[in-house]
Amino acid sequence: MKRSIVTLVATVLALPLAWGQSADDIMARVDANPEPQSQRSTMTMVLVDQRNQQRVRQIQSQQMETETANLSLLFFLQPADVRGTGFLMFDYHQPDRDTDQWLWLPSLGRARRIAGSDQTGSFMGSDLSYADLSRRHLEDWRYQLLREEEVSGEPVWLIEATARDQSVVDRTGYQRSILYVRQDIYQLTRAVHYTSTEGLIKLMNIPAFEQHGDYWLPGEIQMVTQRGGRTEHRTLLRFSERDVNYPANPNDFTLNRLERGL
Amino acid sequence: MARFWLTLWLLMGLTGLAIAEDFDALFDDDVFADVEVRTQPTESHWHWQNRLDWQAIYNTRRDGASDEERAYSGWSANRFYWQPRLSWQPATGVGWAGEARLGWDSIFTLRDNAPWHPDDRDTREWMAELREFRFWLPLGPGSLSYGVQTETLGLLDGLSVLNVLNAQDRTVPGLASPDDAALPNRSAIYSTALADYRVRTGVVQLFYPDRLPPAGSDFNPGGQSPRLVKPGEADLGAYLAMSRASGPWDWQFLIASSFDSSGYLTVNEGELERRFSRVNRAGAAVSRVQGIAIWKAETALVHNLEAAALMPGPQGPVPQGAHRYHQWQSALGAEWNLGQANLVAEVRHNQTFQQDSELELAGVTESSQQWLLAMRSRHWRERLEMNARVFGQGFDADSGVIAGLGIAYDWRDGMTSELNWLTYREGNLPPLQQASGNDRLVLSSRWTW
Repeated sequence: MKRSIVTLVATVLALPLAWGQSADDIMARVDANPEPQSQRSTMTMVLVDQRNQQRVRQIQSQQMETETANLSLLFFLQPADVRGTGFLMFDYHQPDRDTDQWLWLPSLGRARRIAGSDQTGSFMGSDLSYADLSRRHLEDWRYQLLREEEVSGEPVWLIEATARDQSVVDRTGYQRSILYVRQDIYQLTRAVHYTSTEGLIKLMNIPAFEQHGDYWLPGEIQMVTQRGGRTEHRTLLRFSERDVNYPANPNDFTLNRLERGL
Repeated sequence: MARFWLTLWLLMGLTGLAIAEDFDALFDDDVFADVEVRTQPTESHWHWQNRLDWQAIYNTRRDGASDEERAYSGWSANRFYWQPRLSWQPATGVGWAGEARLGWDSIFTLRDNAPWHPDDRDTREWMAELREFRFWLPLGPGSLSYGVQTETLGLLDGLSVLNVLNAQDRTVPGLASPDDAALPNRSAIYSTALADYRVRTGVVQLFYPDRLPPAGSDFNPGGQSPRLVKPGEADLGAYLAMSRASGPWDWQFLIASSFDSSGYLTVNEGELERRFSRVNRAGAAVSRVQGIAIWKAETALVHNLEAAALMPGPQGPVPQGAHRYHQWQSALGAEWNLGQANLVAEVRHNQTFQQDSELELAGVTESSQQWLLAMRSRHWRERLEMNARVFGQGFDADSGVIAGLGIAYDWRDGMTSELNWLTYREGNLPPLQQASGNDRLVLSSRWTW
């Protein structure tokens, strides 16, 4: 009887392995998803506060992947008082190399270098942090497969990601995350992020993906900040006029280009 | 067998409790059902924008204010501005933009009986100016921009020794941020790339002097308006700036020949004049990003500055003639990006070569220092912004200080209200000598659509 129980416990604990892939395998597969070499789009971001007051930011965005970095050039279209403000960013693949960032203010007529700030800070008042917009390094987290579920009729894996050390928590603001990975396309469709602030969590939801050739890209990202179970703030980020793998030129991601403005 | 299934169920349940929570309950499918996203169709080539500004200034009289300063206590300005902007941009790198500013200060109607000085009234009651009127197009390997525009040089924000092409609006000392304070001039600017360097070169075709508080205003209550002796249109300014970003380093080298927009006072045939000297400048700037900080340094050799001594005489000030002098100017600064807050600290040193007694009489010291501390913090998802700044003349506070505290709130997109408190401690800086009798509360609102 004792042997039976031991066998049973071992079987139950080994259930995730019986699904065929470990959490590390799944996340490695997610990380290996092909990404476009370049894309441009118009991003519309709606910020909604507790009183349902909405603020809208619209951004013209271009991105290009190079061997050393992800290059981004953004220009604000809305709101009117910041229209034309530009942002150039080189996000290097080397984890220990700081991101280079410049801001262009039309009224100033000059590109200003910006120091890399706390990446956990809010991106333009939204529920997304700068860290949310950066690539997550696979090796920064420990993964554990929790279970399988369905989201909107699609089977998903639930994976718990725990920060490997305090430096990861400091950099991302998250101690652990519950990740929902769609089994058919290996894309993250939901996430629950537990921040280092007690009781503060952030919920990320991607309701639908768009297929562009070999790439599955989110058409919309929803982010909700909750404190003690109560919604504090919401952000909806929608992509439109998306152009994937357009013939991008590294010269379109220079300070000269930034200073030419919108 | 029944015990086997019970054990299995218990084990499964316990294991599940240990590793999972009810995350699905956290997600509400309709959480954004109330949000309507209006994505704009393809941008039009034409863009029309409006901005309305209101600004009121209240003088809180201090003990020791002069009679003239007392006359301006209470509300001293109630301004309205309309700032329309039209731009046309058929393609990236080609376009035209025009922006005007039309203003009216209703304080002259509201306080009709106050002893307003005619110069103050003429300058402030009605105002119209071009903030931008330019076209730009690709030319060869670079881009040409021509018209009324602003060009900012140097790397420091407040006490730059290289940012000399644009005059400054100093009508309310200590209020405007550096980018708001810059007055555009008429210029042609060509920018291109040369190897790893960005090259910007330009000619300034129309000169604007710094805008100072008009005589008879609350910042210059007992003054007399000097006659402006502007350089002629043939006296162009020109500059060449080369910049490079290399890893965490930014470099800039500049040579410029332009008129000193602050000018100096002299007397000609009994009339007070403000004249402007042609100044040649060669300098360099460097900055380095280090974590959350950017360290900055600028230095410049400045040739051909001018100053004039005015000796008091029985018939008014007597000019002693203009004296040329040269300076070595340098500035150090740092900016810390603390996430929700920014902290800026800058210090500037001017060293005069071959200082003599005549220059001393003209108010030019052998060395002078300025310093600036500013902090800005954002809260409530960037709806609320608080700022504090202190600008000092000389290392000892006795040489004059401007200090300000401000709070700004975004009611909605494009609609902001702001309250600023400014205090002035009298010192060597001319605006401070006039302004120190009163503190100011400045209320303003801005609506952009």
